[in-house]
Amino acid sequence: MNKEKTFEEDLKELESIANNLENGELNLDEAIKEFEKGMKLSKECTKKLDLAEKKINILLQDDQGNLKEEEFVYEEQ
Amino acid sequence: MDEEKVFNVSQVNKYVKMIIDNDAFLNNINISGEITNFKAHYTGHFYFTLKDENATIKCVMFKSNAQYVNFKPEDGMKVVINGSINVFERDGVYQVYCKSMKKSGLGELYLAYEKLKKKLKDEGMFDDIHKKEIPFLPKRVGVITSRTGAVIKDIINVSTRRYPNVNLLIYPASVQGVNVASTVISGIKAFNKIGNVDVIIIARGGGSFEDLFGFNDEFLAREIFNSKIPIVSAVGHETDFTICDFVSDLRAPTPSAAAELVYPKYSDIVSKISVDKNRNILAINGYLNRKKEYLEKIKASKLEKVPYDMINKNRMAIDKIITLSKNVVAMKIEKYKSICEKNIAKIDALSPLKTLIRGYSVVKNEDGMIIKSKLDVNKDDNLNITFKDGNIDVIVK
Repeated sequence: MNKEKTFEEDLKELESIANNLENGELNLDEAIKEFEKGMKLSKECTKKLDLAEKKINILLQDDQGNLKEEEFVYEEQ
Repeated sequence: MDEEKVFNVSQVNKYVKMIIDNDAFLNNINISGEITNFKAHYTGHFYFTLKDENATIKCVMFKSNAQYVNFKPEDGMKVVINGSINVFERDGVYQVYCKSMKKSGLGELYLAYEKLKKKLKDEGMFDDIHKKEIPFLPKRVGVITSRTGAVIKDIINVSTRRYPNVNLLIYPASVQGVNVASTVISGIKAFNKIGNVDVIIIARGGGSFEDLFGFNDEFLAREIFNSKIPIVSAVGHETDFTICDFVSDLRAPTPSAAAELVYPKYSDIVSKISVDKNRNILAINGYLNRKKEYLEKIKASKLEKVPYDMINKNRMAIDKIITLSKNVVAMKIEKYKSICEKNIAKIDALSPLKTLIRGYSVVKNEDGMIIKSKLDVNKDDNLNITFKDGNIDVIVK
């Protein structure tokens, strides 16, 4: 497997599968294959979407130029 | 010491106003300076401040005069105004009431901005061909801005409202003063080095041309241009443009808009997925139904009906031929029957029996030859006579 497909690519593929199926120009084997792929993609997209976790961090640099992340806490001015 | 006289504020302001009003020099004066904090009020009046290196003076230009200004005044512009100086008694301030305004060459900062803009533009750094695509749904967003203030708050609020599970990494930067370029550059460098964000927002709230000037930096522009990670610039508000905006991959009119451009609406994506999923299901069902119908049709028409039709058609042809043959044969039979009958009648008419019935007889000699003349008969010949009802033998005398 090479580069993982982006969420957007998955979403676009799902849409194009729907278009293809709606056109109805595929033969039966192809249509069923596309349909299965579409259902798998919709599941994966939903999974990817809900996998994300809310995270707001701040990137800080120390005197030596080392970077480290900390949780961001908003401070009023 | 004499008792000192005490005045109230109104009296003082009124006195100052009187002095100034009576000063012919202040009643008609030309002033040159750079416009800043320019506001064109919807009523048509202009409010702005004129400044030089050391001082500022408030100015107002009413619609009746402002309408004759034949250019669009903006911050950083160097102008010469003509007007009078009046005191606003209530506030104890004085300001210039402008009658006319002329451009006097552009402000230093503005010129520097225009020069840099032209230089980078000529290098092709603003060309669309270099603009990187902003990911549709970023895994993580880098935000370079001040860690305090409304901007970061707006970005967090707006992005979280659109997409609850945001992943933001904030790089604190200086957004005003001399350190803008260097801190923003450090931020871009840091994100590119770690490579853990897939889009960067550079954000700063609105401000005057001078406030935003730190973003008109050549080194910053080049750092943005060379960033491998796409950059959204949200510096200033709507009408404020900086070099940073031009060179970035996408320009957002406000920091909040940048958050909207970077994060899609969660509900939109969810509904898009479910719409496409349902389209898939509907399409495959429709597809299969169509195939099924097609199959039924083939079974009904092509496979079963057609051969039967053909058989029936041939059967009818055969029946027709049989009937036709029958008719032909019958006609032939009739024809021959009538010929036969005709011949029988003819034969009948010529039959000797008929002649015998009428009283004639037939005489034959012993050899059975018919005697047609008396010369054929001799005496004592044995003859045979046939009558209608039988034969007799006779001897000739």
